[in-house]
Amino acid sequence: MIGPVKLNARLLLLLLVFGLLLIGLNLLRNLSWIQERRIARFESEMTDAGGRLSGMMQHYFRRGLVAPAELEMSYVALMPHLELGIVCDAEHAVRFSTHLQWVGLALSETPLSSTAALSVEAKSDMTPRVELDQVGGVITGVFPFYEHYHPQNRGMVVLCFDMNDALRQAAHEAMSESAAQASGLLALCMLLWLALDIMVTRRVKELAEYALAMGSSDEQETHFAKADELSIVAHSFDTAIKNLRTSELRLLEASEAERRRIGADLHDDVCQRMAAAQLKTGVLESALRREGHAQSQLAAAVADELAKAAQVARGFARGLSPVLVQSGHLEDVLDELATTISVSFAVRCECMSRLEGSNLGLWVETHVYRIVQELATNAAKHARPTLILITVGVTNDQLKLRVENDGIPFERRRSGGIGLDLVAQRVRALGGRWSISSREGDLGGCMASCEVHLDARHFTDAGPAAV
Amino acid sequence: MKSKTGNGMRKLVAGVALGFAALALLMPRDVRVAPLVVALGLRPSSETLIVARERGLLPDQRVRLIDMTWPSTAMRAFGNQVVDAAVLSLDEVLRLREPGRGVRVVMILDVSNGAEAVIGSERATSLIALRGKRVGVDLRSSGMLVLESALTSVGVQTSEVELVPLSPSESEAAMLDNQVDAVVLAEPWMTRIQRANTKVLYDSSQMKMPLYRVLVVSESAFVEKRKELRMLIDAHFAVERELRSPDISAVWSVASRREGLNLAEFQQSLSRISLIDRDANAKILEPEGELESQSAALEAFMLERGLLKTKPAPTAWLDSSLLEEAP
Repeated sequence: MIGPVKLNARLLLLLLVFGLLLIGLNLLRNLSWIQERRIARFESEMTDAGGRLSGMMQHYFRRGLVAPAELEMSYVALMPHLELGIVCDAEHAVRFSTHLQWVGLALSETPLSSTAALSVEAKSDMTPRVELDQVGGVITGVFPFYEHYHPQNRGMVVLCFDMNDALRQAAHEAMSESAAQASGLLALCMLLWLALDIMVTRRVKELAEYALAMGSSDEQETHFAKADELSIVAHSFDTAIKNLRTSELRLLEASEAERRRIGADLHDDVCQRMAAAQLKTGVLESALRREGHAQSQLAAAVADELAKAAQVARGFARGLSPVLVQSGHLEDVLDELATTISVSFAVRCECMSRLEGSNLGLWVETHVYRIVQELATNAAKHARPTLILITVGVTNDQLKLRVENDGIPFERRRSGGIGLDLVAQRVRALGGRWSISSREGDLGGCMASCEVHLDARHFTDAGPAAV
Repeated sequence: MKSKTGNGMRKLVAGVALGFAALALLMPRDVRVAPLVVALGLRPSSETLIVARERGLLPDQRVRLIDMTWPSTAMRAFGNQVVDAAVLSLDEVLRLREPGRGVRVVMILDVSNGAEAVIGSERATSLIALRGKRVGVDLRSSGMLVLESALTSVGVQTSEVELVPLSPSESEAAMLDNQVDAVVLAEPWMTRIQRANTKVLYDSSQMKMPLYRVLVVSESAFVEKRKELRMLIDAHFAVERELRSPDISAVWSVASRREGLNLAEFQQSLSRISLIDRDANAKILEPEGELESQSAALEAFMLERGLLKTKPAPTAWLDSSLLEEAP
């Protein structure tokens, strides 16, 4: 779980940082671009309007047309952002204005008095002048014209635009545009994240969980139907796991066969020889005692030691090959196991098995015995119970096995022994499922159960690896 | 094993992403807030707005006042939607309503008390004498209504006089150059032309119906720029009180050059209109109020005299709600 979460978080963080960086840069770019464009438009409008108006005013002045000039100024006044427009004669007296209250005054008495120097320059070479005051947010233009037919009579049109409002609007526009672009980008980033999550992260996480489950012996299904790189990795991993399982089965069977062989050798050879030796030593001890030899006691001690050694050897043989020689003894050996645990751990251990006529294969019985042995011994060792109950039965093609105790509730530890992993291996070899958990309610202790659906192979002596 | 938290997270991310995508698509691209543009003609009662602008009560970013010396120009600019509002006479508003244009009258600036007149030269010293004479008039302005009213009062048909389309600023020169025998003018041109040897033959105080000067706004501006309209109305009434007081020097300092009148002339000009305060305004403008009945009478007269071809649609066009909102 830890890996994919980190991958997700890293991806998300990276996208967020990248997105925010792009948003910031985009805002600056938009702001600068829109404001530059707006100022350029002001300059263009100023030049167009001033040039046109000065041309018309030259005509109106020469013809003495007052009314059209007034009308023209009314229309000029409609220009957005025009703060003030005035038309001065050669004496710098305001003849027409967009604000009528300045008509008749000198240029120096109007709000455009600061353009005096600019107007002198413009009138000197009859070239329009445009001045941009970016700090004050104002653009001013002076457009000279010939008032009458004498070249020295020079009038001028002075226009002043207030750009502040337009530049503020430009900033709002840039913000709005950037916000729209940022929203789009964020949406795109999130969808990208989602796509990556569905196509890569989620499946990597699934694969990791599968690997983790395999490592902890939990059964897990894989669903990698697509034919992309990740699916190939998943399928290769799946194949490797299956091969490992087969090898595991073979190893298990081989080791079990070897144990059985050693157990059988011990039982059939060593134990028989020791029994013969014990018998002969008994005969020797009787003969020596009859003849009054003091060594008869030594012979009796040897016979006793041989009997004990034979018992130990039989115990070893039973441990190595509990279901001896042929199948059908499982009930007996399980009873014997319960007795051994009762004696060894001083705890009540009972076994209730119903296996008559089950005809389970030898390998199945061996695995069942080993599973019960591991679970019951574990319970006796760690749970401090007063009772261990073993139940094994076969009904309707189902093998059911249960080992429960009334001791300390079960708590799975990640580290420690390999006993439960071996149980899982054996359950897998049987093709069954198993679980271990605390018992419900106030019962305390824990319960391990295993179920195997039986088929034909469970009734043969050849193990699954052979199949 | 699929985690429920993971699925929830994915749904949340998908939802938020869709939300952002919708925001990107639906976000308004143009956040431009244009000011309320108001066309003003020359008129003593309109000077209140100019003074208010000079005093900073009407910042250009919110309200732009456009001086239009020709009355018909203001009407045309408003009709063409170049401006959002205009100060016009009531008959001009009726003309605008004729083609079904959505407009709202939201304030009355004044009611004429002789501020429009038919003025004759030495060649036309009575209304009867206008028969066969050349009369200069702005055909699309209230001058035409005054002329019709004047001629009707003496039983002269419009067809018996020769109409010369003339803007107010051209009138004085036209009269002096003998281009016309009489002109129809409103204040302040009416006072200006009387400096020459002219005679008032008829003025609006003799009309059967009062002639209102009103603030008219487009339907869209009425909805979208209510704050600016309130600002405009409040500014008008802030200065209007001064105009009615004995000391009009502060207003005069701004208005003198615009109106082209000296103080005595300006006072005389001012006496030819009646300013209407806020409360009276609201009362006159209210539904079934005085303006509605006067408009009906004016409309009937204009239809009869051919100044209107069709009756304007009976839509709501008088609105006192802005006046009733607290300043």
